[in-house]
Amino acid sequence: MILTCSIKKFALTFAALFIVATSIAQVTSGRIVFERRTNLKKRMGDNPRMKDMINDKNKIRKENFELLFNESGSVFKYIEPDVVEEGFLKYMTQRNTVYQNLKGNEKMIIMDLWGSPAHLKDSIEPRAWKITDNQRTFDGYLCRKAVWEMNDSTRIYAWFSPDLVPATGPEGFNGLPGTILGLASEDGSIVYFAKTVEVMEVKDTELDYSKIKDDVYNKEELKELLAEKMGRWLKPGDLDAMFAWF
Amino acid sequence: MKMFKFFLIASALFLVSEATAQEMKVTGTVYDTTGTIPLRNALAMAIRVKDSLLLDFTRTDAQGRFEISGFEVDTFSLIISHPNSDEKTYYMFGAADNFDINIPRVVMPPKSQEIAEVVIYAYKDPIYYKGDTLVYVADSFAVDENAVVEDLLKKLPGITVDKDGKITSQGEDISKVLVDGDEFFGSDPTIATKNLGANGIETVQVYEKENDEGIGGDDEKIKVLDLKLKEDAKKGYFGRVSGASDFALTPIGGEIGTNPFYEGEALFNVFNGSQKISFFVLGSNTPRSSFGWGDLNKFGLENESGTGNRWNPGSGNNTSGIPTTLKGGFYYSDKLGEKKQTKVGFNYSFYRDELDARSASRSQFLLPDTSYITDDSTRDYSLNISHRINLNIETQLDSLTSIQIKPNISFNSAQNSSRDISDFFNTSGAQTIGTNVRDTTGSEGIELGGFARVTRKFMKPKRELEVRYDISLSDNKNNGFLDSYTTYIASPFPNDTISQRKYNDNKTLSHYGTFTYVEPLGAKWRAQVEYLLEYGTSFQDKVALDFNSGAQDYIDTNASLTNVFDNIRQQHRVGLMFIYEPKKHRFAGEVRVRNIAIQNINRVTDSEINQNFTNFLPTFEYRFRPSMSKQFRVNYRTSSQQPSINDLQPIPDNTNPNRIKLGNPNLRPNYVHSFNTMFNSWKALSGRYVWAGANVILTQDAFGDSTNYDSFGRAVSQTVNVKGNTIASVYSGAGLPILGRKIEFAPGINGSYYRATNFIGAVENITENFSVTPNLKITFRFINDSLEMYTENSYAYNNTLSSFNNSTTPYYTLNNEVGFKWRMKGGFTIGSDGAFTKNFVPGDGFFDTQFFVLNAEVSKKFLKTQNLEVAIIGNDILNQNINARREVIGTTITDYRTTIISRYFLLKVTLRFNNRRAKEDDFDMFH
Repeated sequence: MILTCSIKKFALTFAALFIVATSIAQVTSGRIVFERRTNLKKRMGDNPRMKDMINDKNKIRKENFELLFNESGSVFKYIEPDVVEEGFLKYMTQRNTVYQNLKGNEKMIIMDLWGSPAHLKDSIEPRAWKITDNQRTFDGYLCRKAVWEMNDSTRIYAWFSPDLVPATGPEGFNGLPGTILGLASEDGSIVYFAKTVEVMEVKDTELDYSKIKDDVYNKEELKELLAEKMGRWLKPGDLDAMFAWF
Repeated sequence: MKMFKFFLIASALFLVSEATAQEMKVTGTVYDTTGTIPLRNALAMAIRVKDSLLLDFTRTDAQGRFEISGFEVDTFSLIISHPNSDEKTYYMFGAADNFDINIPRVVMPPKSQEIAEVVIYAYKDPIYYKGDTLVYVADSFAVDENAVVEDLLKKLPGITVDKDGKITSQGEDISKVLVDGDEFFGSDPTIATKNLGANGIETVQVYEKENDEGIGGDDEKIKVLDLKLKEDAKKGYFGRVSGASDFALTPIGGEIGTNPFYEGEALFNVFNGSQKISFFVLGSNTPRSSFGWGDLNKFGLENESGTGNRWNPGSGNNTSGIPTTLKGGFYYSDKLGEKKQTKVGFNYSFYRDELDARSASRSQFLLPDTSYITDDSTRDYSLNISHRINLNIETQLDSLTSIQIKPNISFNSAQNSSRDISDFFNTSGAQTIGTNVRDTTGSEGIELGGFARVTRKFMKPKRELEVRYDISLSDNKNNGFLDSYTTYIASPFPNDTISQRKYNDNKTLSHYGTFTYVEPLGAKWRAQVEYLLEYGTSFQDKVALDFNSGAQDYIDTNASLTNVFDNIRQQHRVGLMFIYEPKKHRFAGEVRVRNIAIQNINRVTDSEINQNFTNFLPTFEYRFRPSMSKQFRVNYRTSSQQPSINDLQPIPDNTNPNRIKLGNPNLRPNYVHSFNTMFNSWKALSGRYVWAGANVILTQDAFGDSTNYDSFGRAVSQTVNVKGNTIASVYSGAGLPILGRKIEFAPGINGSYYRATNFIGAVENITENFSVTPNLKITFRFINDSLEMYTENSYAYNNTLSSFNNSTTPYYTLNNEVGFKWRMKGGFTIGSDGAFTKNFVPGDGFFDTQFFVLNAEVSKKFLKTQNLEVAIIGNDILNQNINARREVIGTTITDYRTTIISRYFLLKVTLRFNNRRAKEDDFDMFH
């Protein structure tokens, strides 16, 4: 937001008209690798079927995601591990791909629904973030903690670094004065933290999602569709949880 | 982080705004720490003071300028930050006359050093320090009788609880509430604090812990509140009791009051921490004699599946008849050790099953030049009693090694009594002989089995070793009487009588030792080596004594039916398997080589037959799983089965003197190739699924029958090795929901082909059997799933071709079923289903039957918790059920009809209960 000529303002003379290249640590594009830890015991621990299958050894599930960002937007997607994972635990978490178009104020989410993807396109809604004094470092970048009250019972914490300029982050989160390097639900059942931040050029073509044309819904439509088709198997709480962050 | 705070009352600048809405606007220019160079991309954030809400943010431009605007006037802090310097904060008091503020020069302060805070506590009992942990002894703080933990916490000094249940200790947030060091009650800590009774708490501990479940690890420490419970606080119970009877009101054969039907069951589970105890009892004289899958899961009755009598119209299962069942037992399981690393499970169950089966059958023996018909009328009564004990101990010795020991033992006794009246007819339909055979047997035995194994994982991931020992022992003693009376009609032979007493002693003992080692070879490959050693012995002692009319006792040894037979078996088997798993695929190939040495010793004739076989047994599997909802599998495996000791030992089995079975000590093991392929796929959004598969089993040196008939149609048969048998089957099915799953179509088709060789009078006969069964099921769901209706239909075509007599004997079975279940308001449920079965054979026949079984149920739930249910159930209301089936083996076609329980009514009362006095649900897979 450039200073506009507003009326009756004291003119401030600025001697220095040269652009100061102080942005040593000001990053405008790059690649961040996030590690997501899901505590399966907290997410499903009171489900009688799952309770016995989750023990202390396997209750934390780690998955890697990457966020490619530049000033026009970002894309967030799952990094498949080299070795195929065995077992059923991988079906307990969702791995969505999220495109954020900051300039067009739009987001495109490819939801992974047990093998068949569903496309959700919607506008980026502003969220009411609260800023706290808590600070901590992620891969050398000092971040400040912000809180979003998702609903009466849950809060989401996000750590953003002002040194990373684009207002984006993992899983469709945005709107903070810096890129989000850490994300956590209040009970700690899902946590994302940035393991590495690599400063590099990201072309706009990598963030392009215009080729996705079929099966595109907006949030309300997709939620209704799923409730209709899957309502027998999903508890309403689980269905809401899938969409809660969007 | 310490910040330098400046209060700036921006009264210096008064500006008149153009807009009438009271929106804030703040502008300024930012300079670096020297105060001379404008700072670009510095971040300016406006945060509302009353709730920390982020109002707006922006970055400074190349000239260091920024503008923050677009929010209502309020009191907020403006924070300017830049990576090369410390933050600068301004407090702004926006007001109607103060909403356009400009800060001409923001000079960023240089970075500062952090100072860590140190807080020191000093307290006395009943609060004390245990290391770093602050411990409150709960009972020292008086609370109300029914207080919950939250009430207790409010009383502890230094601990405050706000209206939302958020807890702080010494002013710091408590991030976690644990119970006994573990999260016991789910993800919301207020569940523990609002619901746990305060008088169950022993101590309350507060300490700092590394946030290992939060982001990254060492950077954050969290404060934790740990509630240590008194031992008797973590427990509860739940269960179900039900009783049903028709009070002898069901008319049987036109009479009332002759045979009351009853069903009773009780299931109870009590838990205390990790300890679980379940009791169960079931008694009935209806076909319902086992627990459903949901109950087995909910109450942890792992060994109860597969017990009980099955009763299904049209199925080939011959445990049909009139049953009486009583079973009961208990299960105990617990986790022992400080870290709960040892799991212990113990189970004792008792079973008493009685079955009274009356059936009639008609067999046709179709030989090339002649045919025989036999009509049998049989009454079989059996009583089985068994006591079973199962034990399981699993322990984790360290993070890499685990041991499991799982023995089981059962004590069985049985009594069997059967009477068979047979009439033999020749081709022209004239009766040739009539026989009356009565058999009574009593038996007692022990069966013991189990295994012990040690599994060791290594530091290198996926490297594993397992050593295992399996044992299986059975010791059975039978004794009985055989009385057989044969009358020859229109024939010069005199009537024939057999009166024998038999003793049979059977023992088998097998030991197995297995060693398996898995070694990873790179990221995608794995190799597995395995070695198996088997040592087994079997022993059979048969004695038959004929009745001596002079001594009026069974003393004459019948040498042709008496023998002692020994069998010793030793097997060595080596296997090598390679597994290759790139993404989404799995290839596994294995070769096993095994050598088996069998010694068959006939102790009476002192003769020995030795066999020694070496086999190659390859296996191959391929699996492709592109996503969670699609998979394709192909596999090929080989195996080899040894003949059983009953087939090997040479003594004829004359339990049915009209169908005598000889043993064959020259039998060789068979060799089986089986191919299997399967595919399935389902779409989450539409709910559509489809599956298909095929199996082919080719057996070399298969076990077949060689039968010789006498002139009356009585048979003597023996098991021999035949060249080859084939079994093939194909199946496919799909589910197609429409109208948003309100209607679902499930079509399917099954087909099978059998080809078997047997010998009749030393002539080879090849039998082929074809069957095709298309089926369709349609389900309707209305009114929010409270009304469910379905119809299930299938049409089976069966045909058998025999090379012997070039005849075909096709038959058809039609099944139509319709049903509904309606859960209405007020706790009423009403349901009914009707199944129509028609078996038809061209030209009529014994098997040609048709019947319609109609069932209905009405029930209502009572009590506030809906835990009491009363139901009226009617089974086979039209009293039509017949158990009819047709068996085609080689050139013999046998049709059976067994008397089973047909119509009965029940009034059933069920009570579910738990210690929470809340609604108790049965285990329902989808909710």
